[in-house]
Amino acid sequence: MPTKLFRLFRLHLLRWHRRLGVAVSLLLIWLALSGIALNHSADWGLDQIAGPELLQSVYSGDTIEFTSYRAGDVWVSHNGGSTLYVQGKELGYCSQPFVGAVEFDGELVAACGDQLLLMTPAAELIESIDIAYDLETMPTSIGISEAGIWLRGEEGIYLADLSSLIFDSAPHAKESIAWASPGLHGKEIQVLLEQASFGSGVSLTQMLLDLHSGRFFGKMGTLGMDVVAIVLILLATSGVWVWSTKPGRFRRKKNPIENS
Amino acid sequence: MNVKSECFNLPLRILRGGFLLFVIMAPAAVAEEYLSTEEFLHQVFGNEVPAASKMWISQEQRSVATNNIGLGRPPIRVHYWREGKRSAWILKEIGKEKPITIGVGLNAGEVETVRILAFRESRGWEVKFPYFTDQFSGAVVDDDNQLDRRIDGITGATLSVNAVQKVVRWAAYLDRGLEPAITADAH
Repeated sequence: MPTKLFRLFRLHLLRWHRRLGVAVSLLLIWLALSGIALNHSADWGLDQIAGPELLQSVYSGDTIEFTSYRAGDVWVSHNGGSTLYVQGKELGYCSQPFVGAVEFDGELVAACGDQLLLMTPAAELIESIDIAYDLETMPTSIGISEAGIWLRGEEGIYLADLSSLIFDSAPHAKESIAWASPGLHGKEIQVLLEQASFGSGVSLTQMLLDLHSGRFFGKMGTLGMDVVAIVLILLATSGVWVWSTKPGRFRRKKNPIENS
Repeated sequence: MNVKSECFNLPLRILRGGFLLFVIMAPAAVAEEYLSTEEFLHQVFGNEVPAASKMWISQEQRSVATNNIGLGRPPIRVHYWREGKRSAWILKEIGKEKPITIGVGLNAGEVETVRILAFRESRGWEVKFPYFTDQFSGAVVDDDNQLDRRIDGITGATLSVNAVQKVVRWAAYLDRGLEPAITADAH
């Protein structure tokens, strides 16, 4: 038999469950709708459409920290996310960590996470080569010498033969290697990089994602969404608990035949 | 144990089981799966793996890749391995946002092996399973670069499935470009 205290607690919990449910109901509907839209953003082409003009102004103050390496006569830059640029022109996907770029034999070689990207100075992708399983680690830097391209990993350094795709471990290089180090790309490249990054504006997918996560409203928005998430957890747990503790919930119904 | 407490424990046991399953499955869903180039080449050629060759992709081939096959941004050079009529290709295509590395082995123009070497997307990793990749075994790509059979999709992995199909068609198209050389070797 439930005690009076238990009944009182359950009653209060039910009351607060209802209040919280009403309070977050609209937000929950928004989260569900925006979640559906994000799930199908590629199918519906939302990532190809710029978001509403009115909301674009929110992003106007945003800046991107680009990391750039001088490779031959051009700058190879990374936006800290997953995009690589050659002389301010977008090349395509380049995963993190981007640890450098060099010029070798007229081609640019960038070390992007588990891949080496080979490019022309005109920002055309020649080839991408997976290296993670050959090096057993992601490179921490890339360099050149007369012998060719070198990659440095946690286990040591490797001489990369990009023709036969062989990576020879060379604990002690006999020659001096010029390891790539980041540099300052200057204002002209910065303008090109920003134009290439923002283009016609922030996509509808990005806006939906920011509105969905609360990032659109800055740190307070993210914290607000954290609170909503906690409220949803409380609603789910309190709902299940109140449902399961209803007196007689799991009582077996008496068989009418047995009764008679 | 009485009936009441047993009935009360049942939903709790289901919830606890579901939570444990989620904890076990969640890391598997985001992990990248790798098959090394060497392992893949051994699967195609056995112990005698030929040396890698390079192929520069012509403007015409790139046009077929984008307009007919539907690849996003084909590279202008690819590596391949060839021994007699058997060839192996390691190619990439974006699933949704990130490239999937796919190995395709062909023998006399017929698809023998399809393997996922690296998967970087957060969803759609089911394409790495043999129940999907084995569907390509024995497939032939016609002159219009279409597969001669229907490949069953995977719910929730449509973009990855499409990427794999495109790469298989692309590999078969490139392999066809090698055919005269192979025939010459055979003679």
